[in-house]
Amino acid sequence: MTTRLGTLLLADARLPVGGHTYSAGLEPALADGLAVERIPDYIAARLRTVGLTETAASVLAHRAAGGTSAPGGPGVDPEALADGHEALLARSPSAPLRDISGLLGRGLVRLASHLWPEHPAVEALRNLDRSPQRPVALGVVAAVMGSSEDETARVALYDDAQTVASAALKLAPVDPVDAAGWVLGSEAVIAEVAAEALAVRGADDMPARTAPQIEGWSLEQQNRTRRIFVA
Amino acid sequence: MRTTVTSTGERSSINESIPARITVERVGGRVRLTDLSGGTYLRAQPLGVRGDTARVALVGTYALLLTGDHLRMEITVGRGVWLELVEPSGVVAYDTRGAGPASWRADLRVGDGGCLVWRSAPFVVSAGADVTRRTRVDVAGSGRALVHETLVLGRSYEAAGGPLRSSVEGRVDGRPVLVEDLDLRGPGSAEVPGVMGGHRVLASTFLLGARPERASGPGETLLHGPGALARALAGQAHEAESAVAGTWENWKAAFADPSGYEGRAGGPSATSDRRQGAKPVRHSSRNRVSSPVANSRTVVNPWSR
Repeated sequence: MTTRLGTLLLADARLPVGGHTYSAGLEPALADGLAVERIPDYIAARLRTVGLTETAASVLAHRAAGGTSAPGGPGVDPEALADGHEALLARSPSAPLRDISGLLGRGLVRLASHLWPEHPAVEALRNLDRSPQRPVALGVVAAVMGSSEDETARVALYDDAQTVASAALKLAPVDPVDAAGWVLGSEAVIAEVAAEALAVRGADDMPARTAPQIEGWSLEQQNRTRRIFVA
Repeated sequence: MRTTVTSTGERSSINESIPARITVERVGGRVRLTDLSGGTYLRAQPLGVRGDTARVALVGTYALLLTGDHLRMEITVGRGVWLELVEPSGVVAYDTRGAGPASWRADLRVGDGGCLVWRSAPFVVSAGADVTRRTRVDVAGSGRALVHETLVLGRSYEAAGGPLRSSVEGRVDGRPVLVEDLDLRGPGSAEVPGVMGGHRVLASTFLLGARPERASGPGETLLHGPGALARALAGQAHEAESAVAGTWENWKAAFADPSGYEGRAGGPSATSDRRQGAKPVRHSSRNRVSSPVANSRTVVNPWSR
């Protein structure tokens, strides 16, 4: 199976959607004393908690956007899209993390609105919220670009791991080669979490794996005046 | 009834778990405790009724929780009633020695204009206790629930506790506001950075059905709908609890104060609105009944990010 170009684009930090502003919680984690050698554990912990929840939200959004079905397929389900968005919001208690997710989601909406202004899934996404949560926007954009559900899940998880790894290079004395190794080292966890996310059937069924320390760090980061990343 | 405990931690008599039920409602203009049936593990002890308020103590009937124990409680607060649950002592989940899991589950329902206040005692999960804990809260209309939970991993001489899985599901008018599932079942999972980060204690206070104007205290955050959460991680229970104690007091005074319910003739309470800028925000609801605290306040749609 060939990978769709759209999937590669979504995994590319050069896509102009604002991902460079986000450290996936690494900056406040290091500020709170997380040791650099535990960053790989932090990457795995994120994948299994917020990573799972957000990826399930992306998968559900992908389905609500009609998946990759040909014309005459299941079509767009705006109600399912809204239910998934609300389920994700209820699983995101940290207000600053919801804000940053909305900011990143808005970047994807902007991209989609430019490229596919008439697409019914893009319209349903715009109607949700001016700044929908990023995982929901990602699922819709992936579906519109023809990425499969599985590719969508993997790109969502890869992006989370890569966000931590590349932020580490700006925050700590880390060899970029080591950081690349961390991402590759998370392949087994990504496969396991992607399978779990793909098995989710609906919004009520969406996992809600809590990471209280990540939430706490996000609240601390919000109040810092000297910071490199917004979250 | 008292059962004996064998050396393997199993009860000698196998009980079908009977849920403890507490139902408080207004009947013929008066608040009545229409159901106070103690279950297998708990006794409900009324502490008093005043105006539209009631207080009930939850008393464990014997050492909790052992292998095969499945504690259930169903708390129902009727329209326009204020109920406080008081727990004189905490819950301890004991080592189940691989003999089978134990569970604890609370289903809390608050009717329109009603209010539930429950500062639950610490839930201590011993090392080796395989326990699932689940709290579900359903709030209707202008009802509110203010709940505090403290999870403690390990007794004071133990370095760890569990495997534990603890979840909370809070809904307002059927819509999800707070859904979370803390999974500490894997070995070493309490040490994982970002989850518990090596802390033994997690204290959480959550408010459902109303939302302060802003998060002001440490660890406080506003939820996406009508609700707010404050939490703290610490090494000791008293540290985690004191970190969110101020939030509890502020939110209780602003959103769950009994004074407006105590005297029916007294009318709406005006004590709370000025505290720390905590202007209550509620969502418009259908079929709202008049509530002592529901009058003369701004109605803003809080179903936003």
